[in-house]
Amino acid sequence: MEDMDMLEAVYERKSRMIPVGAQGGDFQPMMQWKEEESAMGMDELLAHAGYNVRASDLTHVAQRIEELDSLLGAAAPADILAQDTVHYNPSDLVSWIEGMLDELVPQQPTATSSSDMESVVTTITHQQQQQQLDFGGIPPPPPPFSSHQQQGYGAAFNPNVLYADQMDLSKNEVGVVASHSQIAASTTPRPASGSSSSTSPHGIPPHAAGGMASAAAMPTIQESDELSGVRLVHLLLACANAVQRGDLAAAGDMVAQLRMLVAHPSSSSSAMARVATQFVEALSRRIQNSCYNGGGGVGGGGDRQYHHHQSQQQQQRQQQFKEESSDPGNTNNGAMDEILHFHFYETCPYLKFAHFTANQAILEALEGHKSVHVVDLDLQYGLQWPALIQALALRPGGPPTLRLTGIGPPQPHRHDLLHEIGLKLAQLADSVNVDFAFHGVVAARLNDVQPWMLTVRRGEAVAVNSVFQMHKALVEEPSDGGNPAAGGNGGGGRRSSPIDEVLRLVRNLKPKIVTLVEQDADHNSPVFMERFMAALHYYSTMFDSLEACNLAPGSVEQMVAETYLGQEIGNIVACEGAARTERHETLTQWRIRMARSGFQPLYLGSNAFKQANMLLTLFSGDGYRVEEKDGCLTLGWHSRPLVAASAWECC
Amino acid sequence: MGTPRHNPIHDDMLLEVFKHLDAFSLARVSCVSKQWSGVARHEKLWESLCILHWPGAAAKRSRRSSGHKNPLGSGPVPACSSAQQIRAVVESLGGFRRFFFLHLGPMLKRNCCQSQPRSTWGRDEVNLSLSLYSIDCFLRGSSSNPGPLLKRKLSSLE
Repeated sequence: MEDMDMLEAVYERKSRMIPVGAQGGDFQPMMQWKEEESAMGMDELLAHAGYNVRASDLTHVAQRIEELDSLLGAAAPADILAQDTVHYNPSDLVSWIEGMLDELVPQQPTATSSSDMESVVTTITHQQQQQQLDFGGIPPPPPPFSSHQQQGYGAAFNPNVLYADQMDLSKNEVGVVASHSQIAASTTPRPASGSSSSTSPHGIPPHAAGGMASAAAMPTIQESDELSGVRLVHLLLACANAVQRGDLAAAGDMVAQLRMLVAHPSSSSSAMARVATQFVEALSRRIQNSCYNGGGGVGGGGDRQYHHHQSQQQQQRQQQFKEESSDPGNTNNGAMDEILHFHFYETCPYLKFAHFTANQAILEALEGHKSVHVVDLDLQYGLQWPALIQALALRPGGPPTLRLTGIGPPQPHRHDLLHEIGLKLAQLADSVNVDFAFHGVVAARLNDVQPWMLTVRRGEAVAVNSVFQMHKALVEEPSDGGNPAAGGNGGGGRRSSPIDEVLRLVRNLKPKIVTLVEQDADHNSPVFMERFMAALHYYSTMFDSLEACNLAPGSVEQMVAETYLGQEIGNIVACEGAARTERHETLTQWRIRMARSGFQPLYLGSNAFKQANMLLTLFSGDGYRVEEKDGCLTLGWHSRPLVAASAWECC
Repeated sequence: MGTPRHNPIHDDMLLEVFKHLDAFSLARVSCVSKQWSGVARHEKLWESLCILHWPGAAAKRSRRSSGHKNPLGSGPVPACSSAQQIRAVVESLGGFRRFFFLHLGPMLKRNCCQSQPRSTWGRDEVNLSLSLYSIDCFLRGSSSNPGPLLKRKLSSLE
């Protein structure tokens, strides 16, 4: 019979599919099948036979053909021949089969048909709604969660499986890359699975036992996801504990376990797993360094960027990406940093919030002054300043003369980045008719900067701007072993700590305003475990917030954003001493420090608040919160503030 | 393409008609033919469309109030920039048409979807979109010839 031939053709086609990277499941991921198909998604072999079937439909088609076969066998020949309907275009197998089946069993209820369904169409987007969950012999992957669902450790889970109704499959947009995930065998097996998990000889998953999705089974899936998240965190903390104790052997074992855990497909797409990956690599780096240096600190050579390797379990692209960034001889280091910075600026609101809030404060403080000098303690790529130049150009009464002094670290290969940026800014200022002058200062560390380098002239109104830079001055000198928070008061040593030098330098400029934007977290505790836990919490929240940035999971943008943050994580966890430059402190700690150094707070006004909210509406999804705290603005994810912006003036 | 070649519609006529179109219609008509596309690109059209949406910023020309100290930004209403200033800035940053497509259009669309479906803006939205435009211009890099002001500066740059 023609149908049987068809069926065999389909089965044969599927049996020739080569399983790639089998994860121990019976079900072959759709992605591997797809790689053998043409770009259209049509099955080439069957196409030669004259039938157009999409590769992703193959299972479904095979099964429907079986059904049709059984029905035709059961039905009396006269019934079939008596039908008037003409079934057009058998080359479109899917609709042809549906038509035939409708013909034979017109009242076939949806519930019965779905009970036989075992094919899986997966999608990566959040918007696809789960239609049905069918639990077959195989434990199903986790159901799609809303992106705002908060788990115990702030992990959000991507929906990576969607069971589609058979009827709807042909109408679905099936051309989507699919990935399959399985719950680890060690997790709690679901109570609803009753049928055996035997495979048919052709590799098609067994038919499901039955039953639609039940709410009772959902919590179990949730639990197993939570369990893997919880397990990750426990293992991370245990590993960090071992590192702190000095038990490097145990720590090394745990790192290996962690690597396996995060590479497991069931958890590899969750935010928790992604942030854990970064922490695992940082921990392994720390262990390595401890082994080599006998427990000493890691010298960073003044390089303010931290690069670390990725494990093999990472996606290939990510590994290549990381290898490039970690190769010290790589001439593209500067380009890499630029890419990371720009991407992070575009995708996440943190840098934009920092720049715009600081600009607004500077604008308001420098109102009325004819001659204005802005000192930027870390020019980076100058993204903050075009907006200020434009705003000054539009100042009622005309723009002032603007001088900008940008401080930056020495670049590899004697590349004069500061000059380049200054030139671009000057061009922009020229086009909007703002009298502009740029001056670049190269300094490896902030406390190396001397006042004469900043060329402040008399009669100028000075504004000092520090975005994510001041914390780097909290590095205590190796000879001072004290708590950085207590440094500089004469008890620690004869030298004052770098931060006090920097703040003194700033104060001596007599600025009208000092804008300070910093991460709002305590990552500077001398106790490693405290630092580790604080950083884990902070960066988990940050990675969660990336979800709202409309980044497609697994995309380059997401990877870049994570790499950017991963550098910070690596520095906090793996480095010590002078190399550990990411010494974040909380807003409260900064307030105390600034007050001690002779500054008083300037309240950021409602304009800054409104502008921050507008930025969020424009660029980011729900979940971000701008809050005002005693005159400072904080940007956070739900209830956790992540970045704090404040303004100060001299007492 | 339907007009006979011996009797084309004159550019000025098209311009007059286009003056009455809203932004999205204007974008659509620029797809009709080369001539229409050329006329639809006219900066004046886009300028008036932009200004339509911010009457506050363009119309006001109040005197600047006395300076205010602490707290920032919450004193008496500061003066607005004049229309000439805004026009000069936008033109030098790349023109009104580009400004509309990059920033104003998307913002308007978003405003329509938001709870407050207002088609006119406040000063804040204008300033923000201008700032974003300036960043865009900075990233694109200036391709125009540097003026004499810049030539002098170039020699003093370190």
